[in-house]
Amino acid sequence: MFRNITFKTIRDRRMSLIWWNIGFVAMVFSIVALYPSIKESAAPLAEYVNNLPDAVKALFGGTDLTDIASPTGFLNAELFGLMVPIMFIIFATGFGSSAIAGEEEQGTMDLLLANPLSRRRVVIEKFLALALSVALLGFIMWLSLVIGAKIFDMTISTVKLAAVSLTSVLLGFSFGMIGFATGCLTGKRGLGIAVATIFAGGSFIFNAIAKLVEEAKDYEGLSLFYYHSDINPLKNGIDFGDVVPFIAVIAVALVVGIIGFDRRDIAS
Amino acid sequence: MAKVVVTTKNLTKYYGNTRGVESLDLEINEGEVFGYLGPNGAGKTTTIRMLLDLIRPTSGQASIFGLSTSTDTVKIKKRIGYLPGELELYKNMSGSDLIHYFAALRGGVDWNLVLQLAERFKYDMKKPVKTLSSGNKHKLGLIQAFMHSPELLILDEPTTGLDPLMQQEFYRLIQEVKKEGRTILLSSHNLPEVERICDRVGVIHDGRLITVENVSELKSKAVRTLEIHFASQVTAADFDNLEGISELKAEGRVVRCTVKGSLDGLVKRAARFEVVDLISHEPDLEETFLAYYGGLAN
Repeated sequence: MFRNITFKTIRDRRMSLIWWNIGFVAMVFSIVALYPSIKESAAPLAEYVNNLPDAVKALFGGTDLTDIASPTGFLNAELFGLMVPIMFIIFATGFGSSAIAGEEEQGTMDLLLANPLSRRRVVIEKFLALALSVALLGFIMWLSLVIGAKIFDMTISTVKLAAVSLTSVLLGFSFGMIGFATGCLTGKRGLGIAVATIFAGGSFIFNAIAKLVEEAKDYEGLSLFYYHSDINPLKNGIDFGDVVPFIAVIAVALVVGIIGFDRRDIAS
Repeated sequence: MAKVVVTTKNLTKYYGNTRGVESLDLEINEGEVFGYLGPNGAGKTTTIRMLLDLIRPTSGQASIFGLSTSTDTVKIKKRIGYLPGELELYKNMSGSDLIHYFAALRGGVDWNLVLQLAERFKYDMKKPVKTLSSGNKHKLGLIQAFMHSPELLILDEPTTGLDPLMQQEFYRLIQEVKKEGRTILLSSHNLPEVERICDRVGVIHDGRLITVENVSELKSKAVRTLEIHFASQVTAADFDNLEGISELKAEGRVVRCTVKGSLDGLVKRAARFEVVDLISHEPDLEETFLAYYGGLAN
């Protein structure tokens, strides 16, 4: 486990990782288990949802709520509209913000950099630790969904479940990388979490506004939530073009992190 | 002429408007034990962290083994061992895990040497870092600095927190490393320690390198406070005309004074009377600075 910085960083967080994964399995199963009873009361539920104000509907991430009795509509409303993005963002932001800055705040960066490693290598290895951890969480979520759908008789494509798991991972990862880059630039973990939270919150609110306000509609693509919710990967699947905005944000954040960390003094 | 291992030219570091070090010119030769001496806050750690490329100079440059510390730091770090002044270790690891980790980052080390070092410092590698006393953490820091037999050791306050027995062991280790022709740069605020183990000493005060001297020269400038108890009454006049003596006071059977350099004259004079006790206080670094370098530093 101590062969490189990536594995060691993941090992440091192993208890947290285990609990997050257990939490995701529990969350998925408890939601999917509700599906059979929802299916039975489909008609009155659809009517209720239809009568909700548009602003409330918009806050569900633009998912088609009238479709709540179908597996796709149900999972979008209960999981992928709000709950799953928030969970991935919290996980990735906490991990990302402390990847470089946490080590610096603890004062262990001096010793780590006394080894023959470039700062760029340290940043890249920490980045890989975040990528692997968030990917693992996404994979476990997908696996729980596939198994849960089997058990509770939910007919849904495993490929499309994979698609929505991927956009969930990338959404969380993108905001996590904003925290990561902020940590690289400043060495401050708290600031990383704050900046990432502001970006995530702003992006979410803008996505909701874009559905209500005509003038904002043209700019809806500026919010990363658009590429997770409005693209609706669970219904439509995804192609490569849909994930480009996430990859662009992640890549820019990584480059900013590498350059930022390379240029400044390490806090003592 | 010995090979120069560490060179700094005009090395300057400001933190905003606060001065870290100013125009530092330093040369450390291969195979020597170089003491970097100064009170806390003088700029020792700032210099060392610049050599490690942890912080970047405001101006000037430094090189180690002829390689630039800013562009070739990875190559340099393969060949040096470092003990930070404010040592922080991973609390969630055992000593053994931590050494394994750093050994892997270095591409492997001779594990026998690790075990030998642990044995010498009587250090239990299995204990989790979070349960270690500061002395034991320090031992772990020393083991990771020495474990790959580096050509140059950069040790920031290496004996802080070590008990006296372990300090002796550390001094022996330094001598062995020196015998092998390897180089040591260590910082300290402890004059007797530096006198004991170093060949040359650079004195830093308020961010400026005041002097670089052989240890013997430094000793001749050391300021000591001495207290001599006699069997009978003495007067200040009994001790006049002695070189290097100041602030001499005679009170009844006790004489107190400050001595610069050699104690020979004073001891011979005192021997005319019956001496009951002689107490020498360790040379105080701050006093030494004030008395001899104060004028230069300003």
